Amino acid sequence: MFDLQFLIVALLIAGAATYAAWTFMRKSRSFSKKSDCADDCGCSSKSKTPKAAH
Amino acid sequence: MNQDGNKPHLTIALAGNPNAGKTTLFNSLTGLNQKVANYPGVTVERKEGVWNIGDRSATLIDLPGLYSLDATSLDEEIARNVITGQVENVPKPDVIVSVVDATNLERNLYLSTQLLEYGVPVVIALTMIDVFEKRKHEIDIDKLSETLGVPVIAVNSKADRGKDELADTVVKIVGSAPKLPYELNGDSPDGDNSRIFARYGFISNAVQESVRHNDKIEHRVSERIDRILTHKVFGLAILVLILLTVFQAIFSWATLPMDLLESGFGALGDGVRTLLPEGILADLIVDGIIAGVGGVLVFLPQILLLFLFISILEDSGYMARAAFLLDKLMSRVGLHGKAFLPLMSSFACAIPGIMATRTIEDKRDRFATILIAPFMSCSARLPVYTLMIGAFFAGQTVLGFVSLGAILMLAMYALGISVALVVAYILKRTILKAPPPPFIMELPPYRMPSLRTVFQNMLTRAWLFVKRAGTVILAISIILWALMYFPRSSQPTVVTDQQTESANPESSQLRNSFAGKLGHTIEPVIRPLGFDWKIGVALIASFAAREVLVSTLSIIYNVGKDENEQSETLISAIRDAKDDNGNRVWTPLTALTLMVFFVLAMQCMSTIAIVRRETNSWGWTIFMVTYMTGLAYVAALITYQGGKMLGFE
Amino acid sequence: MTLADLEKGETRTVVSVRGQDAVTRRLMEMGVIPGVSIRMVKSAPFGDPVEINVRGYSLALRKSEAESVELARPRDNE
Repeated sequence: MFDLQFLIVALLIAGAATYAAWTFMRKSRSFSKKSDCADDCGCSSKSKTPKAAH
Repeated sequence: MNQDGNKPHLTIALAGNPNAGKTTLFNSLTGLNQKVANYPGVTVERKEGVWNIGDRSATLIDLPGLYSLDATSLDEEIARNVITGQVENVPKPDVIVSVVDATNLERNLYLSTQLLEYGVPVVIALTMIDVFEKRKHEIDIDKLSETLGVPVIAVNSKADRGKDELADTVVKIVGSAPKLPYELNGDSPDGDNSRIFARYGFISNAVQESVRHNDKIEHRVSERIDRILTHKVFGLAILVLILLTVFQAIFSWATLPMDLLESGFGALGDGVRTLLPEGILADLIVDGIIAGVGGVLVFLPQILLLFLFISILEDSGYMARAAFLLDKLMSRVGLHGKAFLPLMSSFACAIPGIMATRTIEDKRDRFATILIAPFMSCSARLPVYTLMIGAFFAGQTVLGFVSLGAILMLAMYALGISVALVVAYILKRTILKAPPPPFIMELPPYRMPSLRTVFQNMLTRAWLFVKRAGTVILAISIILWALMYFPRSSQPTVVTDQQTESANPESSQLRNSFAGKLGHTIEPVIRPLGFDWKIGVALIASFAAREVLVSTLSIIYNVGKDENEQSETLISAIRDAKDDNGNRVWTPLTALTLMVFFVLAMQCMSTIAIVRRETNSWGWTIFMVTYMTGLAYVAALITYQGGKMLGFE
Repeated sequence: MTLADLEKGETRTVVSVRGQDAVTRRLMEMGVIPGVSIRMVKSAPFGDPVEINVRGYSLALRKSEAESVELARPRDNE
């Protein structure tokens, strides 16, 4: 049953799982104070005013 | 970067009030040669572009739109840091171009005077001069330049007027030191206020000397429009009408391109089936990837339309009016006037919305806004709403011309907003108690939205949507497919169900898969909502991201489909889906229940991550996920059971 | 009287802006300082906030903020 098709599919699934895990890790790291634009929805172009609360 | 010794690379900052025409000027000077990033450590957008000045190029930095430089806000602090050269990787600007709206000269010049105080050479780019002259006002630009002590150039981005002159002037004043034309006396009894008085005193004088108002009436056009649009009674009705029109347009205009995309993906799937040998790989590509990613990408036309309308409403100046109309309601429930903006952007996506709450100074006000922002129906819910409406409420009209779909859509948005207001009311009176915060906001004059800005905004958003479909949604689709495909039933072709197969198109494969087992496990919990285990699978998956519901359903009805079945659209698959007893799984009531659930539930990993980051607390994050999802469950339960009691199906 | 009491369509001159907080300061930076004249444009559907015209542009603010702006009596106007 270990034919080429199965191998490709297995690789794709592994890739998807790795990507999902990697994304999750990256997002959890963004839990720290370091901030950049969210990669899903972009960053706010409309921040208009003021001092973030402490 | 110092190619020919005596002509060093220049750094130029573009500063100006919001709505002064700064973005238009920036686009016109840099063309497509720009990049957007963030200032280090904050979510204030940093926009840079290359401006070719004659034979040399300069980096043009677009500062955030601001009214003042006195650092009471994050934007102001950043702008000041850029001007004084204190921002990492941003050289101190050689010249500041101060964008000034000629139709609002005094207040716009206030920022210019502050810029002068930093000792960096300043040139004033006077925008909206055409509008100004249309009002029969006359401005003596030379006189203005003379009294202010800085060069003033009239620019018109549309007509390219003043671009070259601006470039020449910039080069000319590099290295010069501006002389402050007025005195600042910080020791006067008025304290800091004396600086404000000094600046405005100087400005009034300069304006008086150089401007002749032939027509005393100002901004009356906007006021006349507002007589209707912010009318005490009609204003709110018009707001509702505008939203209704937008939703109706989103539905009707998107139908054709969506159908095309759908049949396109269908054809793609069939093509792959004929090209590839039958087997596991073809199954993955067709049932997993094409069904999952394609299922979401089909909604691209609607996303484009949604952002088209949002951009137009923002750019025209109507958004500010909407905030004006609704502020009383906001302050009633104890929300900050500034909360309107984050909440409004949450209709696009809660993430920029939550990041925009940084404009709110008080922590309790800010948290209250963060906690309710995800109730605003974001664009990821749009595919879910549309799918449900398309499957069960399409083509029906109310009063003969308003489509039921648009009304339902409006109702979903309204439900989100109402629940948000109630929750805010409760929060602000219990755990986040604080007095109602202030509200000071400019109502910019109405303007024709700039096509370019609108399209740029639309494309950016569309690209993010596509990117997301190609990355996160793709990965989730593959994983879900695998969970539905494995383990393989021992006899994949023979259906071993006890029920009659003809009434039951689902194969035993799906039922016995990992995902199927998971779905069955949670079925008792969602049964009272009228959902079966397949919807359960999709529901669990959608906690990663809302639009995954569509992908999952698409995969489920593809994997669970008999081999000889025609490839059909997702909508017809949903309409025809039967449960184990041969009854229809989906009814209009189920669809409505699912929509209600999606309005209120917290199903978005990214939002959870952002909330954790912005509140810096897992406690608040977990609180939010729990109360929102709990609320969603209760509301869905009430919808379904109540609907059944009333005799709906 | 204060800005909060100004009738629709009326124009008066600002005498003083009370308060030392960030709100007062922002109001002044937006051009609401002694000597400037303000016209009341209208109030929002529920009576609050109000729209004023100052220095030729429209500004919306809540009545509670408008109360800190003291206006001249009519004959003190220029």
